[in-house]
Amino acid sequence: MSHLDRPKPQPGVDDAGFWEAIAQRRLHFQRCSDCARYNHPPLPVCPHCQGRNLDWQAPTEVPKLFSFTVTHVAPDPAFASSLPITVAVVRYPQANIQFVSNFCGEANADTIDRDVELIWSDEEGSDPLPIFKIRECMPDRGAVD
Amino acid sequence: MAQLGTNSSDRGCIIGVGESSYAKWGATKHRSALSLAIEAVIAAARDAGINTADIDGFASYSNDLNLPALMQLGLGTRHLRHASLVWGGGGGGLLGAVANATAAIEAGQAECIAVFRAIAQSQQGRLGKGGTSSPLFNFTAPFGLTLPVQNAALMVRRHFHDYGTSRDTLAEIALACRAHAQTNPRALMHGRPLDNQLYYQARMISEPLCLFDCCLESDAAAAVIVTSSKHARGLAKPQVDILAVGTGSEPGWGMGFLGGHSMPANLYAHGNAQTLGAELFGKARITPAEVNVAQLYDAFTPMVIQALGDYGFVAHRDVAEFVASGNLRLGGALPINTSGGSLSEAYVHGANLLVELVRQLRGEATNQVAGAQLGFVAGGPGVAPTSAAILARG
Repeated sequence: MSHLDRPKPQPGVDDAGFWEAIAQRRLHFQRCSDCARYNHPPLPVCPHCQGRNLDWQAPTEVPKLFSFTVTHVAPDPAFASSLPITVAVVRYPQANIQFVSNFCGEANADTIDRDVELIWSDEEGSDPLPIFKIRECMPDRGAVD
Repeated sequence: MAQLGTNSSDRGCIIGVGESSYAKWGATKHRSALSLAIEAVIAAARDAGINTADIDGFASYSNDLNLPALMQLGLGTRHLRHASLVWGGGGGGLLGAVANATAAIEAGQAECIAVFRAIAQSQQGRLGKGGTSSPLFNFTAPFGLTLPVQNAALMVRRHFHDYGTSRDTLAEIALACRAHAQTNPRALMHGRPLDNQLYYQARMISEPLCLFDCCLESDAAAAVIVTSSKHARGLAKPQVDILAVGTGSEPGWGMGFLGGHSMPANLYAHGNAQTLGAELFGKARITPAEVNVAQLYDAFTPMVIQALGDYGFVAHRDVAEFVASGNLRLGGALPINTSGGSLSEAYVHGANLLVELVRQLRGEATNQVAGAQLGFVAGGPGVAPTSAAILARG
């Protein structure tokens, strides 16, 4: 099986905007226009103020690796040829949201709470997915896109 | 015993417990889950000294597929005054089902309710394999997050970081449950002792969790009979009083580990039971330190850590040392899962833990904690709603 057989998102009414942005290689999260707070995963209303004026925006802060697990059994047959895979929870502290993703590179106890940066998994023929790697110290780099 | 409410004769109590034969998943292809469920309820009724015809309601959880209408036929129950299923939360609903039954009993809507859970993984499919039915599938499955073991691994990795627990903590939890199974002939891991060497040699499933951090996969059923104190009079065995029972989850928790892992960061490494724990101990008017024996849901060893901290048995930062000191073993400060638990007896979404707690409080358990008067049982943590109960010898 190939990457093409991996579970694909089935966009619904509440998360269509999220996946439209992903298709354009933009990682945007739901943000309430009334109270300006982020929320993830998307809901039909803002969980903070129950507002319905919802938008999609990209946080400008640098996210952190909040947790991870290196999985040695195939979570789906389509992952069998890629094992082990590292599932990560990435946190945006100011936006106060967490995002499940994958991590590239070696994760260990010392990489918890380290800065990570967004890259795009670009398996041949597959839709891009936002994934992360450790953000190396580069003084001339600006905010993560 | 603490006296609660104005009318203690209406208060819920447990008068019977029973289980089906336990088997490794797939071993009972010739028996349906319904067959196992009926066997467990018949056993519980016999234990209570009542006729199954006198059961007038059923309560279950975790999407149990055994319809009350068919249980009624199989058991010959005359009336169907109660039929409830906890809404959401998987194994977290274990005591939610008891809460539903207790509420109906105490309100006078029904007299004698069978709380049960029956799993036949050979027919229903293996539970640990994940599926496409989660509402948050989009935000987990495309990244290869589909298995419950991965969710537990992500949580405990953060607990290691925040609170200093380690694989040693997990190993001792697995070893304690396995040790308790060695003196329980009904346990599926009876005769298969586990030591540190075997534990650390085991294959990793999703780090830091290895084979022995994961519960059994079983075809099994277990049941308890809930009634009111006034209906319990004159029965052969001592009743076990339900001092406090309830469900809960923390603000902002959402689906927690079964969802997008988006719960509040300061709670992530916990479960979602802190408020529930405070409410239950408040209602029962006892403290965690007074509990003599506990049954803590153990689909994965990290769940025991969650319960120890959330329910206040010990602060999260002190869990590592508490466990390392052998306190979870018979003779320790808080023996847990004394018939082997989900890790080593059988996996029935915790229903066997509830059965074991009742036996402990009656003084008829295989690994009896001497003088056990007060007991605690926790449903699956980290799912919503979760649930727990404080029981007492009547």
